[in-house]
Amino acid sequence: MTADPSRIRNISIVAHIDHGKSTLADRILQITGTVSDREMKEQFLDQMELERERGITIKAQTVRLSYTAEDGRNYILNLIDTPGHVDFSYEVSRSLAACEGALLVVDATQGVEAQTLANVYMALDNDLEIIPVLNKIDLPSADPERVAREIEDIIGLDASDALLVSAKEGTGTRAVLEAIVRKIPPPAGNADKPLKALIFDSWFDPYQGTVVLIKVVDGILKPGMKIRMMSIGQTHEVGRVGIFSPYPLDVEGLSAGEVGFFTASIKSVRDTQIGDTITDDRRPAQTPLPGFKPIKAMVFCGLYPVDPAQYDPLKEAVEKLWLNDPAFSYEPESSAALGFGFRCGFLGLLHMEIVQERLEREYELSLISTAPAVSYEIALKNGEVVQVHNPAQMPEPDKIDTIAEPYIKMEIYVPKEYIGPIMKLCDERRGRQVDMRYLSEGRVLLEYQLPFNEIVLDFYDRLKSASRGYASIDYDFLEYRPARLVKLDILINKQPVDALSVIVHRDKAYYRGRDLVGRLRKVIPRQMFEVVIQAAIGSKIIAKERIPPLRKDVTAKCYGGDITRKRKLLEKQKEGKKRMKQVGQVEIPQEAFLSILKI
Amino acid sequence: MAGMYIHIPFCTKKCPYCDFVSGPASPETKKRYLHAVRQEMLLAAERPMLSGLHFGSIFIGGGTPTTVQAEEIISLVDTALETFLFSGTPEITVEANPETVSPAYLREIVCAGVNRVSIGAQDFADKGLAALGRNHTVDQVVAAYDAARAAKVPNVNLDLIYGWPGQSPEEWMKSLETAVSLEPDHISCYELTLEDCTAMAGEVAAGQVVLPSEREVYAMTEFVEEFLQEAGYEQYEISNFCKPGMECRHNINYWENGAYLGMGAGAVSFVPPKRFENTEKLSRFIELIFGGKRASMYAETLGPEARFREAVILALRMNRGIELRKFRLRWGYDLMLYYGDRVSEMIGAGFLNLTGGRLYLTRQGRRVANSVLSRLV
Repeated sequence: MTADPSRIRNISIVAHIDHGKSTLADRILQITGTVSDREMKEQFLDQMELERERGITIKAQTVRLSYTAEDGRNYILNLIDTPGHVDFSYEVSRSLAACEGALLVVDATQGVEAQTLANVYMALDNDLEIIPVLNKIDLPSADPERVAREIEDIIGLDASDALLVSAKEGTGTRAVLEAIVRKIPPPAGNADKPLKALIFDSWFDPYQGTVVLIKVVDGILKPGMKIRMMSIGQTHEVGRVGIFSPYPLDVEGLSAGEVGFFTASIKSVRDTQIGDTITDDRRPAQTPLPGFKPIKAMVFCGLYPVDPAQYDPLKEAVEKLWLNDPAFSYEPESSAALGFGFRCGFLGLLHMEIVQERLEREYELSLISTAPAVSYEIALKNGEVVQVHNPAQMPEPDKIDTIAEPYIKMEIYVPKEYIGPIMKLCDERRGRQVDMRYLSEGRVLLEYQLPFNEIVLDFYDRLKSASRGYASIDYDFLEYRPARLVKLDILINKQPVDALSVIVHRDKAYYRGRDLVGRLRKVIPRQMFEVVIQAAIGSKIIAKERIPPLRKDVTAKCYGGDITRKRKLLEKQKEGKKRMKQVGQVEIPQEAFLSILKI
Repeated sequence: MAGMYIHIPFCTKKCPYCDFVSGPASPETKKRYLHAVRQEMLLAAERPMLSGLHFGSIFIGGGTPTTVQAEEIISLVDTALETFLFSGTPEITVEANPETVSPAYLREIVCAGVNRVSIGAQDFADKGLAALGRNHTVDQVVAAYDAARAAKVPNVNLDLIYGWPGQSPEEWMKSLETAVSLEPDHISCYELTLEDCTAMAGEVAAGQVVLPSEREVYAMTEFVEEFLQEAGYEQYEISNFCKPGMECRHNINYWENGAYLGMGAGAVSFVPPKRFENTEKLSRFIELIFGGKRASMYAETLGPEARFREAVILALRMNRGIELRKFRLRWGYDLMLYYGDRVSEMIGAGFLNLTGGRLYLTRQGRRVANSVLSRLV
């Protein structure tokens, strides 16, 4: 019943976002007959509607393919699709750990990008055999030779027999499959040893309970077994054991080298953390597989329902999501301006956006989010150290001894003509350059140390526009460093709006205050009353704008024929107000809360 | 008491700001249409749900009703009076455009019972008439007014529009002064509303013409209220002013949420709690009526609470506002309890006033009536 390990190939595809990873996966599914043409939706593996719309893979997904190679033998290929964004690099690294080889997909019109590099290094760290694939060769702007050279120069991989592919048109995809069979080693491991399996993804299914994706390294996993999670020590009974091909299919067991899923009545996905090792509770392995690290949120923001009556549905949604996404954290918080909501933690900005969108879309909620913030380490004069990840929770200035903020190390890959604007941007964001290297004639690697709070707002957008989209980045947490930071408050008609508070560097406070107040003046519509917007540090007002009251807002004619229409116009006006948050007597539109997201 | 509205969808030329159902038409089309309207009255009178209605007014509007022959107007009025129940002497209004009425025309319709003529003067400066794309001159406005007086029309209204592209507050003041110097019984002053899809809205959007600033329009409105009050006109609704006792009863019925029957293409009827709307298409209207069918489509039914809220927003358009006790008896809701803080906040802020059991918009409130009413709708 168990598969012959020599006929198994576990592979991943690593690529920069948009370089065609998912399209290549689609083609492979089609060629191997795993998915019929009729079933084939574009980017089949990107299951969630949201993923398809954004064109990115959020959750790693895996599928078993059956391929008869030119040598006449039948092989099992486990294709493990990985997310392609910096926020999800840990998920990528665990998916890679489940493989013996990887396809490195590089857009032949673009070249090597930061994400490519970051992921390739991860693959190399995991000792994977790497097959370079140059994609999009059908495009007139494709320059496979240059890109192959880049792969050799920058990554140091031999790209002399890189495969030339157009995943979109299907060109060269069979050669990819042959290369997988020939070049990638079969999994090692021993089916007779005690069970050791790596968790590389898990999610909650309302009918199955928690579904856990695993790679069995040693031993055999069978239904009904009692297993133990090695990091947290919990034990569970295995329900179904199966594979995706691409639809779930039960099997009698998964043995060393195989990739598949099992289900168990585990309430929370959090109990099946990615990177953890499962073993047989009765015959446990001595040591877990290497590389497990608990995931820690890096970016925080407040999420509030626009309509206070949606607090309970939001609570339910957040709880469900928490069970499903170990990287997401939340705690209840309340805001004088926004009412009751949650302070949520995320891996990064994309993760934050995705969670917000999922909450809004899958749970039909309408949300206001506060500006994303990082977590500050505040040393109080009484010797206590507190973590603050909501500006509104900042202790009184006279109680603070020092504030430390997180720094990151950032690598920026950019064509040399954009070095100037990128350096200027990093300077503005209090960055310190540590290195600058020419990777090839035209491409440069800049290494910076930057305060993370300068990144969480619109750094990525600015970087993209400063480089016309050519720059790519990767970053890692570095350390906490003390800084001269202050809390900037926004007052509307003398009332502080806690949800608009931000923590900024003292040198930037005046500029930021004026900018914010000016921005708010533009997005808050005129009201029946005068609206005064102020920015303040403590009790000191540093910027002020006023919005004059609405002078004229009246329908001149309202007779029998148009009563309905005129009433509906008023109802529309009322609906518009409902979508705003009332602070005192002032109605503040959602855009106001978004306006602080830009610097 | 109910009101009857009769729509005449014809005019000599489409005005650039107008979004009503109207346009030029051939004499034959007009004839067929008017025949259909009379036929519609006969059909309507047979409907049981309308049998209980007692009418107090007829309003023949448009378009420009006076683009049809005087005898056609008379025949419409006669048919209405013969077909439906009227209480007392009904108020019978005809809208008229200056270029379309002669003294003889007006004498004829007055003889038939028309006792209120509303003249679409719009402005007393040729610049204004040009900006509004009107088909007449200031002299024709004055001539039409004199003709109405000569015909002994008991209540003459002048319709004016202010805030048109290029108008200065001074120009408006002068126009309004001229209008008042004629001593009409009734004056309607409408701030220009740009309706979507009108020619003027397009020109403004394209930057070809520029509307007065909000500050200027505000000043114009202030002037309207102050000047007309001094001249002995009482404001009884946001845009309507009259000499004591000369209010338009037909229109007051709308703001009091009364029943009304609309005859003709695009006309709306309100037979509580239902609203109906006739097809806007002329040919379809004629075809339906001559086929013995109703031209109306169901538009909406308002529940008791929605009706109450609609009654509130309509009544507050009138200066006398809402008599709370009467409203409670009629609708079963106590307005102050129903709205709670929303009303008291607006009273506190000076947009509404509550005195002697009456709730009404203040001067400040009238300027931003939509903001106030949108909180109550």
